[in-house]
Amino acid sequence: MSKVKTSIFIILLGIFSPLSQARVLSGRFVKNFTQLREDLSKKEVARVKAGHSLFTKPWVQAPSSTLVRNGLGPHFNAVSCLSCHPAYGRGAPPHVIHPKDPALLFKVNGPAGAYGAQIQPLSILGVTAETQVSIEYEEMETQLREVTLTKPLYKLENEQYGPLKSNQYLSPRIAPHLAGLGYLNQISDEEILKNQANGGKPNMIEGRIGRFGWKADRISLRHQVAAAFQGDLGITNSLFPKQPCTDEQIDCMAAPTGVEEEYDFEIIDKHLDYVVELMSAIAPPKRQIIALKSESIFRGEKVFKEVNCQSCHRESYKIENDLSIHPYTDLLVHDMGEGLADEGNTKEARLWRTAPLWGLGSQNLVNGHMRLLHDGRARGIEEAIAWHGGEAHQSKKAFIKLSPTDRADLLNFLSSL
Amino acid sequence: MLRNTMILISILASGTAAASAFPVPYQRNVELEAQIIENYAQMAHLNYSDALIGAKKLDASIKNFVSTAMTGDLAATTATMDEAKSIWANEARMPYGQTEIFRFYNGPIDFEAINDGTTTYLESINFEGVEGLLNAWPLDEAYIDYVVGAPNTGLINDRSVALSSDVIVSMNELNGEKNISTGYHAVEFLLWGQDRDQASAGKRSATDYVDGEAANADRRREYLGLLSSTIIDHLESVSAQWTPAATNYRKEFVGKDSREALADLFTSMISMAGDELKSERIENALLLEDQEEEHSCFSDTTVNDIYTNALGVKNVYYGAYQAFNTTESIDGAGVDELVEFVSPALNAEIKVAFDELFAGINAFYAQDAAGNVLVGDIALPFDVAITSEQAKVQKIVDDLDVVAELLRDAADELGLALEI
Repeated sequence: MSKVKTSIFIILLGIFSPLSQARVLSGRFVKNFTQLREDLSKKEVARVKAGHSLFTKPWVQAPSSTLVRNGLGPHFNAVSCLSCHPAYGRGAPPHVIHPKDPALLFKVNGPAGAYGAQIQPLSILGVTAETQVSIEYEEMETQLREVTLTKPLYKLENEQYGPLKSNQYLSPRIAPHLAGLGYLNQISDEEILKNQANGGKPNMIEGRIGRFGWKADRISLRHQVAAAFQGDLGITNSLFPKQPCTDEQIDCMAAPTGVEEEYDFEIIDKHLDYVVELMSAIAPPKRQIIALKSESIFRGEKVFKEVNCQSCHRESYKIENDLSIHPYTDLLVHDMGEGLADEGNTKEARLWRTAPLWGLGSQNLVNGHMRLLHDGRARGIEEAIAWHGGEAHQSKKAFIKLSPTDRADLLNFLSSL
Repeated sequence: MLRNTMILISILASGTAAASAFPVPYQRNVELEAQIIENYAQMAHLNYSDALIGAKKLDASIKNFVSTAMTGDLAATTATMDEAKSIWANEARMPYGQTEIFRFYNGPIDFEAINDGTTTYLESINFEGVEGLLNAWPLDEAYIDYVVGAPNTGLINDRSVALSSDVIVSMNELNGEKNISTGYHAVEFLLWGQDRDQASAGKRSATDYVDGEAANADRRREYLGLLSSTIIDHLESVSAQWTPAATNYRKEFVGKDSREALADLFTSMISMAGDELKSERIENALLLEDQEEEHSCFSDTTVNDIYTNALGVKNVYYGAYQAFNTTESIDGAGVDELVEFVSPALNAEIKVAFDELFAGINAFYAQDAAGNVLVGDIALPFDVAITSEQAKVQKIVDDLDVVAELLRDAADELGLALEI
């Protein structure tokens, strides 16, 4: 590490704690998204690390000698949580970092069918994989200077159970970064409901506000984590106890499972809760303010407000213990227009939760790419803005009209979050 | 360095309580630092050479075992299998476990290219770290051989695939996702078999390797032989990077700013003591409550892993290594001398903490009549201890925590900024 880099590192880590006492999750990666909250006790840290182990180590096909990590699949998207959230960060579509990157998955919207609610392109030995999704990108011109967009076209290949029905549609989702989720969980319902003045609405799930997921369709971290274990890894749990197999998938249904001995599910509640505690324990990403750009960043923050981005990307909240957090989201869902909509042209297809912007400044450092939006189609912040439509149409128009300086300032601001 | 010192001073000037952890200006002893780094590189090379000798002995014993199995002489086959197991647990694993201290700072063993605008030596030769191929866990047993409830699974029982070193390595990334099918634990699985109960280690019969006694015995012999050869290849690739007087990683390592190298040493010691060994390998086993949530679960030799991993930390602190397979040893300038230079009291405290830690670990080993600890002779297997002797396991966890925290204090005393 060069001397200058060391100095910057010192500043970023903060000057209020001795440097070597910082607590981070172990792993061979850049640590911006793996700093732990400072208020954790030793016992909490121990449980968080147990969760970290369950998050990072691969799950294996049953039956194996490890009951804890037993029962992968039979169909699955990935063998570990870390596979799709590298360094607890944001995944990329295939071929950006790795040709077979598993981070982009596909839900199936519409009536129930042979593939179930999610496509799992991989399978354990002895079980045939469902199908794979191929991606092509189509270039699109925009009204923005020097910005072209790529519209993804998704198609099933090697379909073992025939084509989708005419009223079934693929709905892509990329794995987001996970830093600060515990604090999003602490924002009061009241504060979220106040945000409705901007035209958004909460996604109510059984009387509770959905907060997590691209469509805000998960009400709690536990709900989100449990759904991902079952849907993405094929690890059943008390919230989602069914194997990721449909009745048509006979080999999948017949495959051995990790439910054995005292394991009533492939991941038992106690272990699931370690992972939930882990999700709650990661501190929000720190701002990345490069001294040389600090004036531009400061100006960019004003532009952010002038263009009215903050109407939906609400900067801050007070949570427990009078702590201020800065996630830049209203946790509401908005009609984002046809360009971003899932296939199927339903009202739900156009609704997306306002994505939190914290972590934008760390993404490239941690994950080596700037793919953004729900399926990673945007290749940078400008493209992500250019995809905004529907309720965000006015802000996008204002963004297009910005002078080159204002635009550069805004982008510097966003890149500092 | 002046620049760093000034920043540290300005932090102190901000008047926070924590800032008192920085002595200003911290003392440097450049000559001693260089000796420590040189001695460390020497130790790394001896340790990997020792592990390589063990791997070659293991390979020879396995070749002997599989050729004996081909004769159909069951008694001789069992005897040679037992010999291979003994060599795996002792000659092969005892030195390797100590080399794990050379992980955690992007040295050769776990090297990954980083796209940061600079090109390191290992990047320039497209070097690939082999830690995952050598020692990854948990193993995908069902990708290798039959398991309870799945008698025909695995590469061994799939006669449509021609076995080769490349094939078994490529299985490690089947589907673009990592499945673990190579390395020490794959050999362990093929020698011991699944361990599904606490009463003993895995009970694979030697007949698994005898034609006419078990299906695909020929492919099992071939796979096992390929595994042990591949371990040699992988260890040689790492060892070559620590060879003295060559154009390799070592040359770059000893040539860089000694404080950067010292930060690597502390990063690895603290990562091993406070995280990998304490949390990943021991405390998680307590919290996850699975008797097979242990590193060497087939052979029930996890106590040796704990001992050698902890010994690796101590080796680096003291600058000493005693080879297992030869009479060679090194006892040169260690980190302890530098800590002694800045804080004799802290150095004394750390040495006491190491003694406590090893007292706790040694309690898992048998003793001879004179009360000497018989390292390697496991009296209390880890899978038994985590269910019935939790206090003994917890003591190791607590002692490792003390060692790690004191090493953090030492890093502070030395003014080293660590990213852990």
